[in-house]
Amino acid sequence: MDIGTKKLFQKIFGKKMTININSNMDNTYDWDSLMHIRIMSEIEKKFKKKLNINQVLELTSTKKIDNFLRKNEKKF
Amino acid sequence: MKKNFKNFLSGKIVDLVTIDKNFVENTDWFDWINFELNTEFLTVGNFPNTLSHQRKYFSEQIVGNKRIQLGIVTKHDRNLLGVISLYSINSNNRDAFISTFFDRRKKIKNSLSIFVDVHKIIIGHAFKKMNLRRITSTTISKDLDDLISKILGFKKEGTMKKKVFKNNKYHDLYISSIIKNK
Repeated sequence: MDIGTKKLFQKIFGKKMTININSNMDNTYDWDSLMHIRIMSEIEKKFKKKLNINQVLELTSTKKIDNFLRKNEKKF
Repeated sequence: MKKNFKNFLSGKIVDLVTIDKNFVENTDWFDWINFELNTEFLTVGNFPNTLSHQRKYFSEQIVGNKRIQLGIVTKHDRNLLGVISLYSINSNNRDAFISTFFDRRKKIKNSLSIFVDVHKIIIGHAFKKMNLRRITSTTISKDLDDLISKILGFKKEGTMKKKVFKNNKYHDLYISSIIKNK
């Protein structure tokens, strides 16, 4: 997992939270809908760009978010 | 009574079921608001809730048609996850308020998709069947307000500053609404 992705998750869940590349909304107890929207808002802040509905519904695992951040980091 | 829920409205992954006497008597619904986790963003929870309270609420609010309240049940295993309601229904203004309550002690898979499904069903019912034209949501959770505006198309209308007293401090109340397209 990219260091940027790790930092983003630590900011939302705190440093004690164990998140790894296999984490997703279904296997991570604290990653509920409200936490998810915090993660999405943090991504929007990072890229100064609004995510669309499909992206919000799709980015539900660290792997997907990691890929998304890597791809978009090049663009911004 | 896991499997005995009566469907009222159906979505892609959940059904919205009728809250009847059987539902009140045979589920732990009355107990949900006794858990702090469940009332984190709600104004209820100051008094313990009992089955007697829930019977009274059922009789006055639901049987009395003061609100439409439905249970949220997964299609695949008929698991009761929460309830959703339309209240303060005003036929003159053709509007209503919406509130959702999930039993957060249950770990819900696909929680985001379920959240979307549940709201789409009830909003569709409100607009197409009840001919309402506006639904308002109020919450002290900024995250929840962001969630409904981002994925359900609610428009943020404003914030009532320090409106709700909870856990020894006053919280802002966020107001959003969705208006039916002509």
